[in-house]
Amino acid sequence: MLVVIEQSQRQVVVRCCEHARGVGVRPGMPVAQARALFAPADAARVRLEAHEPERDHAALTRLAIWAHCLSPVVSLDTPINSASHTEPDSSDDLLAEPEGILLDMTGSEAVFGGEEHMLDLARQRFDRLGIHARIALAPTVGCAWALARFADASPTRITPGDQRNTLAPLPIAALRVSGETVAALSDVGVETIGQLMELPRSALPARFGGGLLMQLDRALGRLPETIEPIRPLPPPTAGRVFEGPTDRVESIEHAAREVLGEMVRQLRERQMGARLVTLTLHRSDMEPEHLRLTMALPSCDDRHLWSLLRPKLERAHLGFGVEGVACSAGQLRRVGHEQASHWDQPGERAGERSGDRSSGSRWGGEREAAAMIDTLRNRMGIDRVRYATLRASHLPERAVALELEPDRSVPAATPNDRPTLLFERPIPVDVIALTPDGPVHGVRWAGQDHGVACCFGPERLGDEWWRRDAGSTRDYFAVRTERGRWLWLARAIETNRWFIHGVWA
Amino acid sequence: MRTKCHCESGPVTIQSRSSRTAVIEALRSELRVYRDEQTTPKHPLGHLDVRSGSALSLSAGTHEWFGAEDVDGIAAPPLALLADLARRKIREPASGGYVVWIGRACWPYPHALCSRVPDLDTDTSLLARSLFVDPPDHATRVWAIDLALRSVGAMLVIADGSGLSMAESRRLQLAASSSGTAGVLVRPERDQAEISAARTRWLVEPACETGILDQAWTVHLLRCKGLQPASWSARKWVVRRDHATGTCDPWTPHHGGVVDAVDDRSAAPATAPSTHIQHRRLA
Repeated sequence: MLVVIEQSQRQVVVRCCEHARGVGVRPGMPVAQARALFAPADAARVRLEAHEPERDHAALTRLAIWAHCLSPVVSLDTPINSASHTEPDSSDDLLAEPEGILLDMTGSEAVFGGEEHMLDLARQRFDRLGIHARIALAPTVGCAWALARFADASPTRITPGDQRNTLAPLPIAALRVSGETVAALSDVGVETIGQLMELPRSALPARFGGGLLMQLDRALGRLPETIEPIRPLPPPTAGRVFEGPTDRVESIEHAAREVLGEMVRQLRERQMGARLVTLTLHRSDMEPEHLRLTMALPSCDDRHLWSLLRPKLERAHLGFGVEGVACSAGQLRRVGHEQASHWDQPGERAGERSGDRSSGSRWGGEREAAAMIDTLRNRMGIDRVRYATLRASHLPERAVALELEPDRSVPAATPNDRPTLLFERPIPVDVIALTPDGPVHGVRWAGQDHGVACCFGPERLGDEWWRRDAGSTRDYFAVRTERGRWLWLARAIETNRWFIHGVWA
Repeated sequence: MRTKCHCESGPVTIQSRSSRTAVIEALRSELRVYRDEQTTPKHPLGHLDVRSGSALSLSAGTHEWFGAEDVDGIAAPPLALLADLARRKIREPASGGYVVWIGRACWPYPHALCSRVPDLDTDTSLLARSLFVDPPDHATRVWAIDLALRSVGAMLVIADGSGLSMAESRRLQLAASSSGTAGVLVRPERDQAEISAARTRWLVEPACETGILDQAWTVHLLRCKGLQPASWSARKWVVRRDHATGTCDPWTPHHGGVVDAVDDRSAAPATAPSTHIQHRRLA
């Protein structure tokens, strides 16, 4: 893929994919020349995309905000021309936009378990996003910039003090200087940074400008360089302070409703919804009381949020009086435009409200389902409403898990038929069997003998040896009693004890 | 001898043997019409095609299911049948929302919600649309069932209905009727003595007389508003579960006779007396 712009009535390459770079395509190259570099079979498949700097910048900003999961200080890459403080010429205009992000990783290696592990983690996360990123870790911004673009390997890491040796074989362009400076140095036979460093420093500013030495010193760490971090927008918050402590529930409810509405307005302006809403009651001479709401789907519906918040507020302990209330939103997610739902057919919405699902139209009650889950969770507790997910384990008690979020992944291997009811604690029973490993002829539990009509098994399930709390190996039998009950009997191999682990009910 | 008989048009007095035979023949033909109506989806249970023995689909309202099994004091609700009902429910056209399982006592083992199709992947659509709710006490459980029944987000509510009073049962039935949601209340066998406002009541027992390789249950229809079976034997079905796929086969009448005995009262005209079948028999 080639990203191109129209320049002087011809198309010029601005960016290119890794495959195109491999055949020799470079930014600034005319498209016709770039096409000629491809094999005839590939030339027809070259995809051209128009360069849209605003969209690129917006996407890079979103990526920088996302990268706060790796570092608290993230900024966009410094454009070449602004870094070197030189007048842009026509060829440098192509590269005058940021094309990378800078992360200040000082002190972060302790969080991620070392620099090597930190680099691996960063690469994995970018890969997961589908972004082919070249990553470098260096003591200075200039050195990291140069290595990310001109080093042979990625990710690359150098230790403090190695900047000089590392930068020496790299080309002059790695110093973030203009193409004019690179060309001027090339005219006198200086192609690499190592050759530049051997020249007398006093002669360089007069012939190539002061920016060259400044960039060199920045890369080597002799001059400091600051980065302008991108700050994500603060979460929507709103608050009210009373003139004095009050324990009047009506006043507190009125203020809480107001701050909630103000916070929801901020959410709507950003077209975002919150999955976490906290109402804080600042109580006099007491710790503040935090009333938290957790939503299944991001919401910016003040009526729904208030219906969840009000019961909590009624049960809140006001102490010696409340001096103020504050509301904040967390776990923000983008929500669809609300106006779109107003264009639904009136009949469909009426049918949805009355529960009529037989009209043949597509079910659109996701919001109602989320409201139901929110109401259940905020009254009973978030952990009392769960989704079941399958796990890749052959042990029945570990093959499933109840999670707070739905997980659609399914393990590849599916087990044999399993009972419909699995006991949390297997019931010990006495079993009559001719041989220790079955088949079963009779079962005795709860003081009663039960004859066995048929018995299937054993199905041996070994312990998971890689776990510390691994249980014993078990033989399972599906047994039908003479009364028609189907039991799932288990025999612990080590102890030779029998249990009922489940029933088909 | 003068005999009095009720018909659609009201009581009829039979004057002679020949006219009496004609009236009986007319009643028989009318009964045939009623039998044919059994195949229509007007049944108060929803779609229960007893003639072909196909599936039951629960209609709006609450339905009580009593599990007869009791393993070492632990009630074992009829989860295989309920999972199969839920599976059929989500396959219905234009169905959406969650299957909500309320109360740990009626939570199935999640693998039982997956059906296995030979040579294909496991079908986890029911598992993906299942929501498990664990209320801490009885009052919260009733509130949660009521909330789920009223919500459009719930397609089917399967809940632990043990210890429900008549008032609570009425409340849940009204909630289900108002929203059009089907609710299944799983109750222990001892709760059969309690009166309730549920639309239907079912009892599930393990089938002893089936082939030894089958997982099978006998399903008794204990009560159904608007449905009046002619005999007790007509209210029994046998359901077999295919252990290879984890799904239940179509319901089959127990010892036959179901087709001849079940009458659809809700499909009948409003003028029909409640003792309709009984009077015909006397005739």
